[in-house]
Amino acid sequence: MSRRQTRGEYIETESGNRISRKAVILGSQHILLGGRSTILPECVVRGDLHRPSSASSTGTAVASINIGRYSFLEKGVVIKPPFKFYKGSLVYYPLKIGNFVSIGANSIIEAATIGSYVNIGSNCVVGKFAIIKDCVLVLDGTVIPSTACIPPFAVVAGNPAIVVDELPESSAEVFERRARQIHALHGTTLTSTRIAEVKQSVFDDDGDEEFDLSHDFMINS
Amino acid sequence: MTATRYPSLRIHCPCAEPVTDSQGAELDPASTPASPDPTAEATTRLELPPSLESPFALHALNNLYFCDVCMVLRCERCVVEEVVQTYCPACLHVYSADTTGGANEPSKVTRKGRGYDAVFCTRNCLQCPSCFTNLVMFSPSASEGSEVSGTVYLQCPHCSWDSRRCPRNLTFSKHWSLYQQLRKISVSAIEDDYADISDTPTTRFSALSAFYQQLYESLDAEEEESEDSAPPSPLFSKRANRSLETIRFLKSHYSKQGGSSSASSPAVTPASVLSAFGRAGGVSSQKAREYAEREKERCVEYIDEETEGEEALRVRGISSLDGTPTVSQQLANPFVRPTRSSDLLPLPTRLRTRRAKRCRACRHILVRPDVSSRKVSSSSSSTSSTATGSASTVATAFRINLLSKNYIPTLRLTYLPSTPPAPASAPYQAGFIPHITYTFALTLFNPLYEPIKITLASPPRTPKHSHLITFLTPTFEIGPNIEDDWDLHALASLRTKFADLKISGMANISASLESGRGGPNLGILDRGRNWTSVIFEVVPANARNSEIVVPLFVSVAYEAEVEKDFTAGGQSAADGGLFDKERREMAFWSVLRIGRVIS
Repeated sequence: MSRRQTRGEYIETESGNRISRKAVILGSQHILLGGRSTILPECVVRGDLHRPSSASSTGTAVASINIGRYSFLEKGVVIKPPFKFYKGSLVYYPLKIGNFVSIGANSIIEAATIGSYVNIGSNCVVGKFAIIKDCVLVLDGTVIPSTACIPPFAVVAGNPAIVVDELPESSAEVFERRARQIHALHGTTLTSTRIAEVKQSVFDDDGDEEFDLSHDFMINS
Repeated sequence: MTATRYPSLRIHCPCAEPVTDSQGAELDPASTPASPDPTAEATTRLELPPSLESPFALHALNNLYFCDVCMVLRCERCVVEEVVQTYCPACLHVYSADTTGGANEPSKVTRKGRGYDAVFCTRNCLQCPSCFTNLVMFSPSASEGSEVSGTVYLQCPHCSWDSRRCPRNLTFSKHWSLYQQLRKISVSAIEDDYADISDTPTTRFSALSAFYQQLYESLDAEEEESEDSAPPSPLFSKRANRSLETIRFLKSHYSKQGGSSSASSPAVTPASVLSAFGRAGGVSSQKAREYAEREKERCVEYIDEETEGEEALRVRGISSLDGTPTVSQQLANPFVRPTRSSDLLPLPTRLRTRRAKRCRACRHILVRPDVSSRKVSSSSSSTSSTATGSASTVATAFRINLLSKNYIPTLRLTYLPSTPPAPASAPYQAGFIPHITYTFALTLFNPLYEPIKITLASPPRTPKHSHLITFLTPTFEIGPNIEDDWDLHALASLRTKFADLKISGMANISASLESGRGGPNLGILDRGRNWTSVIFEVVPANARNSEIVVPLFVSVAYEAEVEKDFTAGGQSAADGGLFDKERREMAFWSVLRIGRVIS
């Protein structure tokens, strides 16, 4: 709102994480960021939903959300550890996200594990205890049901998610390069939140489309 | 990712071209058709490959492989695949793994299960028949959260499909090997379905085959009677005029039967149809109506409640499609062929494969997944409940991975506005105006550790609509990729450079280009350690709504360091070091789809 606010729109940590001041980070002592990760405004990261530490005698904080290096959470992403009832009480389980993971705007993540080199589109739902392996592309608007398992090198789409295509072997390198580029470019335009423009300038402007995907697949609606 | 997005940049794989050289001689498979002498091609005559316009021959750079023996690109269509590993996508259990380690031996895949079972996960992975999500086991006796044991039922976490709601009240007596239990259930389901019908598929088939056998024999007999010279031939012979005879025969056959049909064979016979309509249009509408009504009554009678059972009655009673499965649901359940959604049975999960890929020409391995190592390419250790022990779950690492992006230069296209008040975006979507010069920068990144010499070539006019294309610098050099971090800094600096250009406009840039350096550097916009940006211009022709497609031939030449062969030559290691210089060349076509012309 005020001009002063734009100065420190992002908090930059020692390991290079950039966290928007407008993001809602709860229970930060239970959140582990691997470094060079970016959290955009309006994201919600629920570190406060963790396994009760009183159960363990050590007393040290249990990481409930673990996010790897070069991850990128776009505007409005919700990261929430999954829970289930165990012996009559509600128990939260840790959520782990690998390296070079990009999550599109307004997606809701309650997965158990998301591997590395995963691209999740915007407006997706990843259900409780879902597992996404490495090198997976989740297209926009996909709903991954709870406890689902997405195999490596899959392209998933639809509600519920079904595997519609396979990624080439280069996808790990492509996703890594993409994550590094977004991090570098976001750094140069740190004051703004025009992340769509940043992404566009990385990919759309130069005709370097990432993969050939078949478009004639059938999506359950 | 959409097909119509501009600009799009695709690399052409020549595997669709005929395997002959220019003299028409058949090529030796070792020397592939894809690598013509690039310099000769570029300097003498530019011949566009016929498949350059075909979408199937154009690929994203990331989808291509590179055979470093043949020095050519390989696409999905010109590699040979070998299954190295099969695994279940739901539980990630590895069912078979290639145990051979050598790179050039044929793989020996050990497979568990056989026939039908070999393609399905034989553990507990079953899919929802309604929405194809993995089903979850529940135990009716166990309380929430405790281990599942004893009798179990299945539930879909997405659509709440419940196996207990099946008419058979599908529960499983054991909580392991659900697949085997399901197979028994589905076999019995098939038998149940046909239990109340005398007309099972087998009896139906034998009745049909008996009928045609009889038909064939009687045809043969008639054949011998009418013309003795003609050799006996099958019912549907190769000669076309025979079909007429067949029809004539069938007609007579059925008309013979027609008299007694009303009692014994209630089906609509062609004879009855022919008798009603077939006589050269001489049938009155009154007669036709009578016939139709009579047939309708008989058809209704045909559904015999005693022999067909309730299924037929239900089908007769269907008035809407509620409660009937969709086509994809039916096709997924081919043995049961359910007509009610509640009849759907859980589906077994099909296994997926990890495959090695070889060059089709030289059998060199291009991609080989690493199945021995348990080290996944990331540090993600699975904390899941379904993905069991680490020894048998699928990994994603590769032992060999020859990707084209590590061998041929990456191309990038940037629009450079010609006037200082730069438009907000490039005219890719808005469209191009004819007879106006548009300037673009083509940036090539060198992925190799050696400096490369690039020769670009394109026809002066595009083949389809003759838009004018001018590359100001056809030949230039790109420095080596030393630190392998071009993706970060080079691109970031390039972005700012182009952003400046967009502000200041191209006019003064091009002036400085022409006045200042000239000579070999003319047309080179900028260069970094391992990248070079060159300028090219496009003048769209006055062809309304035509697409601007620029074919571009890129030839790469460099001197690679190869280890000296000391056994063959007499040279010692003292003179000239351990490495020899070897000149290598490769070339490929690419297609730049820039946009559409508006007028």
